[in-house]
Amino acid sequence: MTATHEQTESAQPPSKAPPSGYIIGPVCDSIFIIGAPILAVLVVIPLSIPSRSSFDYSLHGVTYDLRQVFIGAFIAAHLVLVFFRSHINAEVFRRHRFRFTVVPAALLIGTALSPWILGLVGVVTVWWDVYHSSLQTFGFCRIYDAKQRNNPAAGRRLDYWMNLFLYTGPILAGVHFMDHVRTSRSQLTFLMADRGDLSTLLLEKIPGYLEQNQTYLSMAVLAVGLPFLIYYLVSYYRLYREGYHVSWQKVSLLCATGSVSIYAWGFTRILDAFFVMNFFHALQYFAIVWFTEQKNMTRAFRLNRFSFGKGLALSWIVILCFLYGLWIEHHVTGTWGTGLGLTVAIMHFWYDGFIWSVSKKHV
Amino acid sequence: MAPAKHTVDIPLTADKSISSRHDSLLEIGFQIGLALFVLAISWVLWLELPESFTPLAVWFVLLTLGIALAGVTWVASSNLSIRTKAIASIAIMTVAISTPTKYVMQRIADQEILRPGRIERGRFRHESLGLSFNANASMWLMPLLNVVVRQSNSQSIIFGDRLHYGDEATLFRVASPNDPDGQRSPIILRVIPFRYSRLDDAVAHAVNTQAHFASQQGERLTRPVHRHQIGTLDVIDFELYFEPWKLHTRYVFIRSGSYLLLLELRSRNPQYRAEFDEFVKSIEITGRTTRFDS
Repeated sequence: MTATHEQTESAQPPSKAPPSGYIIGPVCDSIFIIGAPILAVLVVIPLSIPSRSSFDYSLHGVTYDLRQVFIGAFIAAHLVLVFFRSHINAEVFRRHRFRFTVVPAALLIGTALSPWILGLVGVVTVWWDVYHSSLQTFGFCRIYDAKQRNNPAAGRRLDYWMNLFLYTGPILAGVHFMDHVRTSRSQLTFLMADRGDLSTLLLEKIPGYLEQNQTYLSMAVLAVGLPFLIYYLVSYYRLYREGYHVSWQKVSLLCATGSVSIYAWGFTRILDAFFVMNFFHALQYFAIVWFTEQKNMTRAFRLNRFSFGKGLALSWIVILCFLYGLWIEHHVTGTWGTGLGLTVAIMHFWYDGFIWSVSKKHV
Repeated sequence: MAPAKHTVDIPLTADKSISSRHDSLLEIGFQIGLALFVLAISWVLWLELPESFTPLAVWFVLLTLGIALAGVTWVASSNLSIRTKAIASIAIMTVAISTPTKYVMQRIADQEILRPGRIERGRFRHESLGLSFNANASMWLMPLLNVVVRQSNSQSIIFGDRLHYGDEATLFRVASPNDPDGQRSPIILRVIPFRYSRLDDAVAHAVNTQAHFASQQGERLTRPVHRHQIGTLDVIDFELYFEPWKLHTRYVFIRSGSYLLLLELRSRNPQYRAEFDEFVKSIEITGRTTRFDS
């Protein structure tokens, strides 16, 4: 999710700050939003101690690591969850009918019929995922600021760049940058059979160039990132003196996300890093979607007249989303299935950019 | 004169009660349908589709009933018009019957895959694979070795009657006495359950196979992985030359529905290409998809 707005910057809050400042509530926010990055690390540490074989699970004759099966399904589950806001919430759906109907249908057909579109959308997905993940934390920061009744424009650019640095910086400068490049490359494997100049460029030259020059990229990230951190703190101090109310929830979220991002992308194995970063991202998403859409979801599952309705609706959503995740990650065959997975991912990244506008009071 | 007003006494309470009971039935029906659907889908995702008739039939009923009940009760309890509800219900019933049927038919076909083929009017035919090719009189055919290499846990060779994903079966060997030293040129067909999500994966499989063979001492890659069409067939192939034995090997990947067929064509005859081309051209797949990216 991402916050959007169109107003000019000013630190002056329109009215007095409320006492709470939480999105859902102190307990839920502490576990599912602010504490989610720390929770992810606490989950992954015991899972990374046993040997790999202790998590082996044979699924249709192929041995998988259960941790990978779980996190793969969890990621896909949170991707498809966006449709419970975009398509089940009638108000949101009415606002963007074209984007919610024609665009996904066109992308699905394109990816299914053209290996080129499929491959390129696959590459875009890898990097848009990174960008989108950093903007989710940005979105939460803006909501926390709004909860303090700060002007939605105050510090917006600062938060945007800060979150990009916190999430993307450790990937670009860390040990797993080449894993992302390799994942992008694997989306274009079909070019191997063509042996043209373009396939050599995309499959060999560009990845090779990036691998050789990653040191410079790391240095650039550090050279820009560290001064920016100082600038960020100084700028917010100025805003504070002009009347901006500091959201301690936002500060805690930034500290937790930043430290976990640096730890995971910089100092852990790729499987653990991938698990940690995607676990907390998906957990936060489930929390915010359920919090904002529980009435619509309960109604959609025809449970609004039952006392146990909300609990059962939540169970159905978790089960159905996970089944989709398991199916799309481990069972799908053919370009229609793969195209569907990529379409859902791209739509998730895109929709999140406009269905959670803080300034328009959509959240 | 104003028209007389026709008023009807409506028993609101009774109607509300009937409507409420009707709604409750639809809502409960939807929950039951959803539960059946989840059960059937979980079964196929976490376990394999059952092999024997009774569990396969149970699975079929679970999924059909699940989709039909959940779908129709959801539509019935919505605010759509009667006509839209009718159209949606027909569509749901079609999906409820066709989707599980397709899976079950695929399953039955897959169980037949290791049955032997036969030679008929000069062509070898394998009904379950939909495969046929020219088998002239000089060809020596070992019809069905039925050796399954199970790769899932520890690699083991078994004589099975069906293939799991991850297994690889050598289905037959064909040989023709064309080599200069009188040795036969074998053609081996391996069958691998096809679970590739896209062309990329099929090419990657061929590239990995190429890398595996090319890394062996004495092997030289003479033609790297490439994709092309032979007739209506989508083909991915590559060629190696094994110096110590002066042996040319061509690996040809084709698809037959849910199976990937790997043909290994070996010869010490430098003129082997023309003969192998003839052989590959004679291959036909009927009733199954042959495109890698569909």
